[in-house]
Amino acid sequence: MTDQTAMHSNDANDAGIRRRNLFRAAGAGAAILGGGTLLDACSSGLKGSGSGGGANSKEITIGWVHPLTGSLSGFGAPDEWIWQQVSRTPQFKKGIKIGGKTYTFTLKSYDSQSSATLAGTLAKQAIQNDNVDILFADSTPETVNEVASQAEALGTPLVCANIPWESWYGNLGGNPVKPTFKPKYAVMYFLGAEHLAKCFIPMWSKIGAKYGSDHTVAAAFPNDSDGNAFRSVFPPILKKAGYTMALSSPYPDGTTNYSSMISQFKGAKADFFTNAPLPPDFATMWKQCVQQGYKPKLATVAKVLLFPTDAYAMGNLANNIVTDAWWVPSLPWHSSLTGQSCQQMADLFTSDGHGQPNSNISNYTLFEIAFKAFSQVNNPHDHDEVAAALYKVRLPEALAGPIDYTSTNPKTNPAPGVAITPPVGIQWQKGTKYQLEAKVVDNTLLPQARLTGDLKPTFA
Amino acid sequence: MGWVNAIIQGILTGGLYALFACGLSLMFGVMRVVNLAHGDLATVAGYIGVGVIAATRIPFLWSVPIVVVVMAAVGYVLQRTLIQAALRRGELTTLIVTFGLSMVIENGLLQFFSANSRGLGVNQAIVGASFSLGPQVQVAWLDVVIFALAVVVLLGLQYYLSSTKYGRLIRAVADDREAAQLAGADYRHVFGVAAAIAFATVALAGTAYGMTTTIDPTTGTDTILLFAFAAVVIGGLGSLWGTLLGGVVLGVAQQVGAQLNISYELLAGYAVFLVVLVVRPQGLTARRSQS
Repeated sequence: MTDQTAMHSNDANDAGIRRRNLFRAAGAGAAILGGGTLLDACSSGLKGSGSGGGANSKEITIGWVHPLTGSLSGFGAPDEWIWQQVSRTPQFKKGIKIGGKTYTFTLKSYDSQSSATLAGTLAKQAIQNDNVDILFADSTPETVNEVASQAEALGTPLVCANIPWESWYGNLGGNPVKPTFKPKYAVMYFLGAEHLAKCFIPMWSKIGAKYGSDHTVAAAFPNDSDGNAFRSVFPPILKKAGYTMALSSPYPDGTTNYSSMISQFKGAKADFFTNAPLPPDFATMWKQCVQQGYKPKLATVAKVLLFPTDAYAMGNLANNIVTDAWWVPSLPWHSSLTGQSCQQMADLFTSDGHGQPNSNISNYTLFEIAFKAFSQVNNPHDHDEVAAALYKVRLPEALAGPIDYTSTNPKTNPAPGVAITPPVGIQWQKGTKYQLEAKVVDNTLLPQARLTGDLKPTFA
Repeated sequence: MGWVNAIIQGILTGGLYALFACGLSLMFGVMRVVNLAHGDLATVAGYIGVGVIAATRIPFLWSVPIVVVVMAAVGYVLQRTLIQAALRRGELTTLIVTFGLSMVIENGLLQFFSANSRGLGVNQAIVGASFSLGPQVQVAWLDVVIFALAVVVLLGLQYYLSSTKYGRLIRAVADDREAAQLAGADYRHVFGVAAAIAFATVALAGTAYGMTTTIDPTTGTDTILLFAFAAVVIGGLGSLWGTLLGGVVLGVAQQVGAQLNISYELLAGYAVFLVVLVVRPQGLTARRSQS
């Protein structure tokens, strides 16, 4: 049989010509592709009404840059619901009284489409065209860092969430090891890469005590901003705790075959496994681990399986994998706006038809911090005054946990503008109500959180 | 032993790439349509599978033929309507139309299925199963099945195009549309059938991909389309064997690169792609044109 098929024509030159056509075609496609994203930039997911507030406007405009579509959209899933809840609170419904005037709140939502470049462009648009009074940005360095740079450069108050603090602080020019630098306009609350390491270690020890341990941890960190942060933060903490690491080379996001890395882990006979990949890469990597016979006693993953839908997509393979959660329904905190407890909010989320509670309900606290700051200013349109007020926010109770930007306690506030909401360990276990349920199995860093399940080995 | 493993894994991964590239190669060979929506259509196939299983609760394996048939029908209809209309207006129009289709599909999927990732057949025993070929070589059954599927599909297509009456008709229309029309062939219908075949292979590829990893609405343009293009170009346009070879070369290049250092995996694949373009721009299997 020859390789002559329908695609071969009699024309001797044809192959050459077609190839050129293909490339010309592909080139044009790429050009359109670039244009397409710019066009999309104009759209936004949640509809805010009204134009941006001017200097005398009685409207406070909040701009929220968050990933509603694209690969990170799992993070943005509860956001629309959160705004529904917030806009129903008396504080946001009636508006805020400042100096005898009542200001109403308007939300403008900007969908980053999971693109760092677009996030930066949108932040600029929000500040320069839409005159927002305060910006929110949340979920991964890919969304937050560009926005934070713009807000600092253009002088607009910004509250961030869901980004490891080291990455956030480093991006603004601070040194996480010597945290003397104070950002002018931006604050954040979340955890750091160190907390993930400190959250995972007690679980390895627990499993090790029961099933034996070689104190070796296989680590697959990609070559992206989170991966690089983890690669520098994990080793010293693990070393101190008596664990050695089998660290993979930094692989590029989108790698399709992990066999070389997996043979390294098998060779090291690592009992424990940790990583910080993109979700689709984890699905590929973990399936290949199982296929190639690398079955660690406990897999503690970061950045993936954070949300129920991610776990469902992996089916049985997600069974008994552990990850961190910065927010769970069993936390003892309450909303500073309404007094609702975490459990009440979680139940509401489920009864509104959104399924199993999602950790990013913690984004609610973005609004709590903003409200607190606005209640302490004379002119909400004065960016410098609002930014200064952000640094004075003290919330002994907030849905995501206590927030205090005035504190200098290195445990809760390792750097100026950073408030830590430590994580708990959650494990995806076969559930009764849902196919897989997130059980709180470790609360070393946050003893106030109630445990809801027993830690099981991933592979016994 | 590590190198042997890398090459075996690379060959097997290449099967998946070839399966993806097959439909792209066919559409271009017959209709001269560069289908920029190719990757998204594979994603659609995956989502149809998800939808069919959710709606009817049939076992995963039974959903596969349904998805293939549905996608083939979609292919025929799309070709007869949208793509045919674009073809009449010239090559660049088809490009813009398929690009537009890609955007519509991606955002449509986002709207209906949200951006959450989905897996296909995740609880099938085969997903975790493997066998051992020596101390350091573990081969996943799933990869073997996908590779075999790619070979069967490409072999079958090759046979169909070269040895059946309709296959020869497709080739005739591809070679000289006017002459075929003078001989009484309705080229639009022939194009429709070719598109149906191409979409059927896309359906298989999308399902296979959903089993090896997870799919989400952006998977198509983010990953699938690029690898499919690279496989087609390396192998040489116009040859189905070349497509298989292209996929395998891409897969092996990636794995050998990864064996050196996993950071080089994607880089090595594209480096081979570039080298082929420079040294043998007609692809590995296509014959050099004699002018």
